[in-house]
Amino acid sequence: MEWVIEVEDLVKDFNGRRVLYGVSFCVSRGEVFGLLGPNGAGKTTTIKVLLGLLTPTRGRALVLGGSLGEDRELRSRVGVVLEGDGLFSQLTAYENLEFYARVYGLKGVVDKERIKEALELVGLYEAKNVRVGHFSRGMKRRLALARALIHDPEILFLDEPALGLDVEAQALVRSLIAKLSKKEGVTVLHTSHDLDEVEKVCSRIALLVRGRIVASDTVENLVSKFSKPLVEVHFTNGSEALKATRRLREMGYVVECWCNGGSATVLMESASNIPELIDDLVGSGFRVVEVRKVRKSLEEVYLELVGKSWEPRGVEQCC
Amino acid sequence: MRVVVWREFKETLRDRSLPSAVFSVLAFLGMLCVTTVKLPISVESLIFYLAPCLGILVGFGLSVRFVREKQEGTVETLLCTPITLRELWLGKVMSITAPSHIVSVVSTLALIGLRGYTVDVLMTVYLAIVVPVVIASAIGLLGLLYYILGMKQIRMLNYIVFFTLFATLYLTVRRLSSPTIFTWYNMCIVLTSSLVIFCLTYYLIVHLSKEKIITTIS
Repeated sequence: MEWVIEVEDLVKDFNGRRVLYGVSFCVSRGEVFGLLGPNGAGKTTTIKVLLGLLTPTRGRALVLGGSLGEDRELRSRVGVVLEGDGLFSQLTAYENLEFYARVYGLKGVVDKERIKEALELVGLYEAKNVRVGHFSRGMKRRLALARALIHDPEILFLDEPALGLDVEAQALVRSLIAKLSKKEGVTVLHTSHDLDEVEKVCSRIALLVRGRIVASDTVENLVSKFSKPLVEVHFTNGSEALKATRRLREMGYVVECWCNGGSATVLMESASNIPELIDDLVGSGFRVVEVRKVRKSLEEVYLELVGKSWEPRGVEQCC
Repeated sequence: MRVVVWREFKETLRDRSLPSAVFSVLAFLGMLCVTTVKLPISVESLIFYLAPCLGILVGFGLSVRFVREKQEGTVETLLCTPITLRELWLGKVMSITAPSHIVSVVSTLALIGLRGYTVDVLMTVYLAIVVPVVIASAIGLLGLLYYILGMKQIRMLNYIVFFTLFATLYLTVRRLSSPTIFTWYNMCIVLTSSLVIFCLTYYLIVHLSKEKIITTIS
């Protein structure tokens, strides 16, 4: 497999305070890789080290086999959207893109065509002659994305690209990332707090907590690897569900149990205990209508991994 | 680098800091005209001291663009492009120096013209070559300091520069009536010292780490 981003044992200290503790991960060509974590986890620091804006205290951070900080040619092959949009407020949207197109060496007709394409891609062609200073936060963010794409980069670094965007614009960003990855083979390194966004867009994620990667895999694998099985048992009525919940809480393989109307939601030690659970309930005289395995969301796994309490949504805890 | 200069020029022309800098110079010159109307003024002193001072004053007003680019985080994005820090710095210095030079020369010549004086070859060379180098070296040094200092320190630096400029202008005005030794030798000293400052800054910029700029963003 061809790795286009390689991070190995990356350590970064700021004024004697360590913010990254031996972070390691690799991203292959065409992959959308999500770097996920709470505020202060070190996501932006990792991206900035990769971009050559920060010098690592220890370890390696390679992009396309080299260091972006030292190699000018390599920098022309990546696109970047950081927290600041990198736009000039006195210039129009068109002029901003024209500037960046020239910086990346695009000239003449190619330059004009690319600018038009990029503006249309983010839905800002109508506003091409408006000064960026008059743009809303969302419009600036979309233009920043167009700016990062103007030179057809091989790798795209996106640091919270959907920050401050409305739902419509967030969907646009998501579809754009998916399109770039699938149709054009662009590799994307994407940081976000938005688990929903990451779950929908990324093929693989790494969870960064307090400067350490605590988990790294596909969303599907992470959810199955790091979460205990959750089962929803439906009964004929609410009172029976309540009684069954009390009974289930006494069973050794049940970690937690909640009553929710006519059903009970059961968090179990292992999926192998599900037949035992059904036998126990039927044996105790409960009329079980349906037993359904519930897929946990990435958010729930995330909260478990970052050490926060977890409780299923829309479920009342049975007392 | 031409790209940077082109963009900087466009921004400078649309920026409110240019009209306010020009207005400050005009106001200063207006006051100077009124207060010195009956005093004899040495044209040599006027050109030798006042022209670079006015240029630096305008340049100081425009150099806020270094800080703004840092505050808005635009510099981070620019440093991720194939542009080098030296090109960024040089582009900015050139685009600030050009309008500052024009304002300084035009206003100095206007003042001289109003008094009915004329300019000789030495003065023309000084205005055309030495003054822009002096302005560029001052703006370049200021730009370097803006890159490496934190926001609080930049505020302090701005106060220091402002009061230094104010004091220099005050002293300049006081010396306007005294004759200056306006010679090729003196001119060369000014030019050489400005070039040394400029080259030193040009050299230091390459050795400035990107981390220093990034970590001093507020």
